[in-house]
Amino acid sequence: MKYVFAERDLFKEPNTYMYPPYGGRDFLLAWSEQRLRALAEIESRCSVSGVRAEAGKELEHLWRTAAMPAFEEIMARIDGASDAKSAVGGEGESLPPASSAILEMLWAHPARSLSGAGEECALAMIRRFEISKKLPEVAVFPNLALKNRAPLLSAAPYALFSGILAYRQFGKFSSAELNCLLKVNDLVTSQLGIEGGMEPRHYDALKLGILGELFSVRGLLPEKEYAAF
Amino acid sequence: MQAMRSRDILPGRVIILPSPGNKPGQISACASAGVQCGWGVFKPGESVDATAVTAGVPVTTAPDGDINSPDAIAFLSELPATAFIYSGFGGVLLRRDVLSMGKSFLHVHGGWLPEYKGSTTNHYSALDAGFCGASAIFLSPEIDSGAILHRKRFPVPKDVLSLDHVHDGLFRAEVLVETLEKYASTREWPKIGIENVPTRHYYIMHPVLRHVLILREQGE
Repeated sequence: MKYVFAERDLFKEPNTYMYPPYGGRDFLLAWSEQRLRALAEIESRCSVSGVRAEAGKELEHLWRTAAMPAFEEIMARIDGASDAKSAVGGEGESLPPASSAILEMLWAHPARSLSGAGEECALAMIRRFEISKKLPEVAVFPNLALKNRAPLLSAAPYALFSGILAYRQFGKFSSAELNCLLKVNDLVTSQLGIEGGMEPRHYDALKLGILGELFSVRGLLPEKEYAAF
Repeated sequence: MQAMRSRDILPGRVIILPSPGNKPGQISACASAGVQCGWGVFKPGESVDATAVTAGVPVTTAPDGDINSPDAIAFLSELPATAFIYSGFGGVLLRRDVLSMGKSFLHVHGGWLPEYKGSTTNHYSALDAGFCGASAIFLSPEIDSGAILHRKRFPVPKDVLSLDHVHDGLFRAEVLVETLEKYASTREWPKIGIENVPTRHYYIMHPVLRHVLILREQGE
């Protein structure tokens, strides 16, 4: 049995997930094999040691050269802000942040995604992704609406999103967010081999995202089904 | 409608909102012979207008399948009814124009409110907490956020595969009929005294989690 939910380019043809056929244990095995193949593919592309240092260099580069507000500025505004909209700007401000910038910030400090304005950003992104199967390029809170806005069509930021969602699962399990993680991983793994633009930190995040997903799902299964994994 | 017919609590009229292209409903495509339940035999393949006819309830087709359209609003506003029992296409929200015409729209959400708002909520509550639910509300502009009139929990059916097309409907029907019985006996809409507070929304469940739920229930 093939796992069909990550087979095609999901940026072009998103899944609807409505009334899927039942495939029994074979379906779960097909899904886990697809994820394990993705892990094998990315294993050689991410480095375990020194990844944080590398990530730091990347972020520093982004801070210095990006046209959007610098990460220090975003982080300073998010820290202690009472709501995500006031923290990261919105309608009427000249430079609403890029969704990719927010994801970079949250991945650099994933604990921020567990509380406060960082969590509000994460939850807003979860809601938007669940509704639209994509995030907008520019994040206008509170709804991150996509209407009349360009969608974010690069896999790399979604790989970070995957890592952040997995981190949140480790922090506080939620079936609703595991649901989003499954859909994000469908999207990102559908892009492996299609596009470039993924760097070691993206693969690192995706690795965490896939492992977190596998472990979380396995933890929901009764022991006899668990043995199959 | 079948449950209402069995309890002889009937609406004054059934209004059909035509689907695009007049396609039949999803359930009719997977009709089974019948499901034994508390009030008799539920026939998933029996259309609502067929049930209405056998119950002696007149059936009218609305001029537009979109309840938010000016034609549909004008049509509904001219009817003498002050309350409608509403069941519509998934994801359709009643807009303020509809909700401000001075009539109430009673809807039974397939899930336990306020905790489980959104889509496939009985799947999530079954997975999280081992129960299903249905909640009668008056519709408001926000999803699943109207005042809760009545709600009930149900055990997770062994046949989880039929949750979407059989059991969810049975749960909703039971809560609907009980709500209407309460109204009939007191002439006042019931209230449970629990605020429908804002909670997280659930979105259509991923097939992996559906399979986990099914395998868990089959294994018990």
